[in-house]
Amino acid sequence: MPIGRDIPALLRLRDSAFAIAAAIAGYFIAPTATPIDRALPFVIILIAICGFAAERFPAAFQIAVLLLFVPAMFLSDEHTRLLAYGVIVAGAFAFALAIASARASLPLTIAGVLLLRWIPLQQVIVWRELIVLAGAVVLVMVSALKPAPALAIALVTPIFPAKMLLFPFALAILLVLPIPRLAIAGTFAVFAYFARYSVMILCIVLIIAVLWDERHLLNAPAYAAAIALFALWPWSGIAARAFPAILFAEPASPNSRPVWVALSRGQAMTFDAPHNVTVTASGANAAALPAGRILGWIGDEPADAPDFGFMRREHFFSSRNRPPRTPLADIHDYGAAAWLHTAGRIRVSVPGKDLRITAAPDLPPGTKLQIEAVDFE
Amino acid sequence: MTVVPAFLLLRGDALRRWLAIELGAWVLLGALALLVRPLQIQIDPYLAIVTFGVCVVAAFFAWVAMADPIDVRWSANRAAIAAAFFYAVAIPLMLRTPIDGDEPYYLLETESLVQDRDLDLSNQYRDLRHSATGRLDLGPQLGDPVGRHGEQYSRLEPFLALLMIPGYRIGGLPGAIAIIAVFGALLARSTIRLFEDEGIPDATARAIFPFIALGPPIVFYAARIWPEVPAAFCFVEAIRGMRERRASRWMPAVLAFVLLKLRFVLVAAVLVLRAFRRRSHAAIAIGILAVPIAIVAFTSGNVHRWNELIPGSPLAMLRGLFGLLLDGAAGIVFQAPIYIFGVIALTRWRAMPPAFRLGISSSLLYLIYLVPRLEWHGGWSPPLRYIVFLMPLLGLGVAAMWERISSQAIVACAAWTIALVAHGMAYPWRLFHIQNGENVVGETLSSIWHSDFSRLFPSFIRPNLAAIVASMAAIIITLISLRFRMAWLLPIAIAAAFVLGRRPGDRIEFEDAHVIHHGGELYPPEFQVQRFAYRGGWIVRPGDSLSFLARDGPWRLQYAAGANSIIQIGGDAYVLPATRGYGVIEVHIPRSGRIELRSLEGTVNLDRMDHE
Repeated sequence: MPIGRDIPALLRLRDSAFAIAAAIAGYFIAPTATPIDRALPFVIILIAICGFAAERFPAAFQIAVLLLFVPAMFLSDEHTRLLAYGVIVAGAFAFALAIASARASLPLTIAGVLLLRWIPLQQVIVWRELIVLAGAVVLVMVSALKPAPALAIALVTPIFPAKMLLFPFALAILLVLPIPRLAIAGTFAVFAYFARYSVMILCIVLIIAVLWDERHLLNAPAYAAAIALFALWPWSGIAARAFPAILFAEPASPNSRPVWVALSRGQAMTFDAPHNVTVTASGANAAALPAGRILGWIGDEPADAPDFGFMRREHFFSSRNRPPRTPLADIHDYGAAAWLHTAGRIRVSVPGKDLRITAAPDLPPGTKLQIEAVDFE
Repeated sequence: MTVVPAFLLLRGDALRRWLAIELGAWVLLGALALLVRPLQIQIDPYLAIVTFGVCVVAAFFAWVAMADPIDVRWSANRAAIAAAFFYAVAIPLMLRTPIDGDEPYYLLETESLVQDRDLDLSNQYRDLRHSATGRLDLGPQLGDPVGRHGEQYSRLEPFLALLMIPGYRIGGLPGAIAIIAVFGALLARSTIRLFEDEGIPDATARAIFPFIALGPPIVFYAARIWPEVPAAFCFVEAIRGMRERRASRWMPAVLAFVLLKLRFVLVAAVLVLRAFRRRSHAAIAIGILAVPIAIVAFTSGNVHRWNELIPGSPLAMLRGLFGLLLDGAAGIVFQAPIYIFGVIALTRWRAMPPAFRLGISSSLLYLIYLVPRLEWHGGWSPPLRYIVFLMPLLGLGVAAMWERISSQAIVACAAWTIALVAHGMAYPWRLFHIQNGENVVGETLSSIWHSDFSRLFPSFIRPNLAAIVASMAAIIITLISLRFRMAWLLPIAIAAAFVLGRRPGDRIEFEDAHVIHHGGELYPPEFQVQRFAYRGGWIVRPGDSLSFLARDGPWRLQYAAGANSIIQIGGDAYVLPATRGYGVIEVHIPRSGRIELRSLEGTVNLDRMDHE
């Protein structure tokens, strides 16, 4: 059958057989190292759904499925392998969106939400995720939002606290009201400027979703950026909560020496240091402190590090922190549960031989300044 | 990257949309590049960029193939210019490492013609520092003719060297390769013209064009110094000339074809004899063939012998024939998969275009003599060397049955072709593979998993069980697959192979990639001339050790040792008596799993170990 023709109904059975066979094969081929690897059969089924929904070019989706086996077999480095999965699946989704008719929006959105939010399967809180899924469906069906912005909204919707599950529904209502979209976007832009970091993220995504159909000249770059973000689905929690901070994250230096000292208010420590050091510092029990709160001093530099775990999905929305200027590139967990360990890397010049680190004397009880590591340059 | 070809081949809405797609692709690459550092992705950036480029080019030609014909500006000339553009990009990629195989010798001939106006390479060998080859390790090849006064000629025909003179004078080595690239572009043009002559629809020609012009093996030979691409151009022109009954076209084409490589006389002879039906015409034909033979014989000294006219044994013929089709390192299925449909087209002989039948039938004699040779795979060269000239004709066969090929097969071939091109462009030195029975994919998997994956790939260079299975499967599939679609079995087959590959096999070849070598050396050395004529092995000395997966039970170890040696396998020591040639001893592996073989005394060349 030449490429590009619609799939005759009888061939769907053959394509279904391929999808099932590929999912079984994926179970045997995928390493067991990460939940993403273990979810490969599930991902294969989602790609097959995309193929069915697109109704054209079934061979392209089948090859995408086979391509998923390549990183599983050839790439031993975990992050490289997961990003390769990410790129392949993002390419398949983007291709499906590009060729599918409007009636495919719903299945593609559902498949996208399942991919972005339902891996790792064992960490899914089913009733909360079903509400988010319903919200995405409402956005597509009622508000006529395209799958890409609907997926973006679904991606960033917090499931903690439970009231935030209503975010997609609120947006759906907003979109059906006779208000110019530019006005909605402008209002939320002003609001975002004054809001805390976690709320600002929601506002920005909302603005993008609202203005998605107005992009015109930015069509290709917008889709390309969306694909790149979608390629992060193996760490969709990072895409939802740590973007764009992740782009500025630095891996630990090979010269890094672990310290792991937690200083309570007023406590201090001193150690020998050469002229320049980079201190990796974070806060403990500091999620409720306002953004930019100084936890102490490293030499003469203020240590305004956030709580190390404020990007966990359970804490993110209620936290008042913001990511450090130069976060440590340290990703924990996978899929929707992935979070960035928000330790900041603070460069310090040491005029003498000693570097003194002091916790602020006015820290709340229980809040600590954590010195995780020191890189000697 | 494809902006220039886009303006060349597209217009209107298709052009605008493609430019937007290309912009998006670059934005995507930039965005992904931003993620590399924070995610600590371990990837060769050069490979990533080359792969991106190849994917964009592939997407561009897919776009051209599927665009509305009104928005496509398609002609043989435009296709040739587009191909030339990509070959120009390929040349610097190929020059990442020094030229290899026969290439430096062709260039030395060119340098000798330019500088000394002779073909004596003695002074070139003495003064390699001033050669554009970039190789200081060159010397006469085995069997190179020597003149009466000690002149050192090359065994290679000088016609290609002659053709490269203008390019070499203008641009040195890149200029010489540019001449080959020009022939590549001419080949692209001739191929499209051939398709037009034979009634292939434009849409099909557009779809298959990138597979032929920018896919393996032609793309690799179009950006390197080999006579294969100019020969392919001459062959296609000869076929076209004969089909059009234009002697002024085919006569010079046939002449140049044979001048480029004397072995092509086996094709040219049949071709010319088919062109003439009267006795007088046949005499002219013989005269035409005699000219290049005489020229080659008198200019470089003939290294060919009369006994080469006797084909090999039937077994050797089968081995070479199936090897050219199915071998993991040198077969069409693995190295240029789209052409397998050109082979399948042979089963529909009567329905094929006349040019296909003329070209293939003319090549039959050549193939009969090629396949039984030990060097059927091409030796130290990019894959499929000896049948590159035939590829446009096989491409015509593919084009003739394009509508019957399943979309899964086309997309699978496209994906595999993209991988081959990206790999070959990023790592051009890997186009040359020692003839040890392994291939890049098998070696890579074996190195990662330390298990013998190479045994799963059919090898006719070092025949294995997979080769027999693949041969039988090929026959069966050729007979029935055109009616039964079995694509859904592919994932299961891959999974089964992956599971099987991680288990110990029945044979351990000690030089293979899955064996972890602690000391010792490869036998014969990597760059041994005619390496394929040797039994490979790994030489160990006291203190060296090898580690590999093996099943428990009795094994037969084959080795060669000049004096008595002692090795230890598992906990047992074995004395290996001195041998003349190769000897065998029985060893016992107590339990399945990873086994260490340690050399305790003497030097021994370990060939292989077979489970009984």
